[in-house]
Amino acid sequence: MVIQTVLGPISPEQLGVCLPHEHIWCDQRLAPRQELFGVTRSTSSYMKLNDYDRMCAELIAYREAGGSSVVEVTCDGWGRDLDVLARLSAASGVHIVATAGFYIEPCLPAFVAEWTVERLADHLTREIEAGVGDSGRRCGVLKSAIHRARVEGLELKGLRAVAIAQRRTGVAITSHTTGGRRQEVPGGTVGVLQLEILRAEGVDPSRFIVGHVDERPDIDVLCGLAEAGCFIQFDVIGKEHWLLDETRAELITAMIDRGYLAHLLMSHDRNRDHEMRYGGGTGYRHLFDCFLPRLRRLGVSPAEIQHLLVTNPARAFTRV
Amino acid sequence: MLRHPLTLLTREVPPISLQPGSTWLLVQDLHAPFADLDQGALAVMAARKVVGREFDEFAETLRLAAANVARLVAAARAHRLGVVYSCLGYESGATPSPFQEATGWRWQVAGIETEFPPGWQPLPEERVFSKPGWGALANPAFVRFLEDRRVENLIVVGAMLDFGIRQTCYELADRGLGSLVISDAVAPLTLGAQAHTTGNLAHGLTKLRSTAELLDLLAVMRTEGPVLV
Repeated sequence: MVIQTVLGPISPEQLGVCLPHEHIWCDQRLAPRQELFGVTRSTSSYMKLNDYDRMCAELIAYREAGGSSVVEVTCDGWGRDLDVLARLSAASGVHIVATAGFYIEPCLPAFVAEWTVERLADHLTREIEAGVGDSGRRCGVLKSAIHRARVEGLELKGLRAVAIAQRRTGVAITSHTTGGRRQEVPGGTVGVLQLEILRAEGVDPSRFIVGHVDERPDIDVLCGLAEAGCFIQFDVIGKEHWLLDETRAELITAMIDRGYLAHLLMSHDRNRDHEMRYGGGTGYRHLFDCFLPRLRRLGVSPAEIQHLLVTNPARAFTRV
Repeated sequence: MLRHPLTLLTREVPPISLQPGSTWLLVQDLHAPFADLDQGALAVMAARKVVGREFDEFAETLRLAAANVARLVAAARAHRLGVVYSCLGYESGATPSPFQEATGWRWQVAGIETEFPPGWQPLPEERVFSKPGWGALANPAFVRFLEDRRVENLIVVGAMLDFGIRQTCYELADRGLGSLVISDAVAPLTLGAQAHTTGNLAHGLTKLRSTAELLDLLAVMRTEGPVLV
């Protein structure tokens, strides 16, 4: 029963306070098919974090606030670098779990189109069991990301490969669900459709983390997913253009009241300079400095917060 | 901070089917008054009032969008999708609309040879409609055109995203017609307006896709028939 970090396996008890969905080292300018983003914007607005000293300081600030570990969800194709993550982990004292799997279509490496599902699954399994490339550094979680309004094309292929690798390795599957197309998906999250496919592929729903639920939340849908056994991850906390933190806190409280405490995870999905403390934002400390006080005011107890920050992530990221 | 709370309650945008006959490409407000960044009416008015810098973001995004518009017009023709144009202005022999009089956005839509950049100049058989207000369906002749051809959805590219294109999408939705806005083939007046407008439009009214995505979809349509978006 271990959790795989970039510096080696740790026990679930060592994970401590965990942010389950963050970026530490990424650069969307490296995406192979940037034209699919389809926005007339400058590359300065792309997701990018690649200043080693600053990111080290961010992780240290997180640790000083009480944080212990971070799940880094950047996939192969737009800057994932386990050697850098290992250096950052050693320097900051923060456990970092790296990710195998696939981000959205614009960021998919060319081999996803070329290889069979089985070969992709072998590749992912190797990144979990043996390490990425020749680094020997292993990933501790799988990821499926859906950019379209339906699960189709290369993203479906990737999801099937992730499902096979999950069954072989027992690690959790974390997810990116739809982003800007959430209004085209019934229930607001493509996680519902991902779950259908994962179930058909034989994946236990309790190993599936439905991400980005707080971009367009429908509490009835979220409770349904939790009832099915999934983790429900409020992971864009602090990004109030999608949802006010006040609303997030009320939704989490309501889900606790309905009996789903054991299914909830919380994170920020930090991925741009301006979100970090060095860029004027609140970085990885937002949860501690801004959001937990809201939960406490709504009556969420210290024991329940411990569940959200420690107990649930440990269960989610332990290989079974 | 731009927020779209209505999206939390609005139903999902239903799928639309892309296929020749019922799907057309609408090129809106990409005639000289907006598209000519040197001699067009907007550019001339802004320069005369010494407020040209205010339109820098419009000019920047229009330049980025222009190449995509040209690609999409060519692709639509190649894939046998109809192409139709709608342009703010009044036709020869007509008078400015009340909207045009009230706002000062008034000019005659003249010959297509001088009105459109070469990249998306209409072919002789392609219709150009004048637009008396911001929305394309303010022209009853354009509405009849859509009805006569049993058009079910429009792919929309053009300028003035935050005014004309938004209004057209509202009007299409009112009539039960689908719209697919190509996010990198439209030009807003400001980048902030782009984020706000596309957010509002995408949430409940229309769909947004990139030029590259649409070209991929059209390629699928050619080999496999109608595609759902």
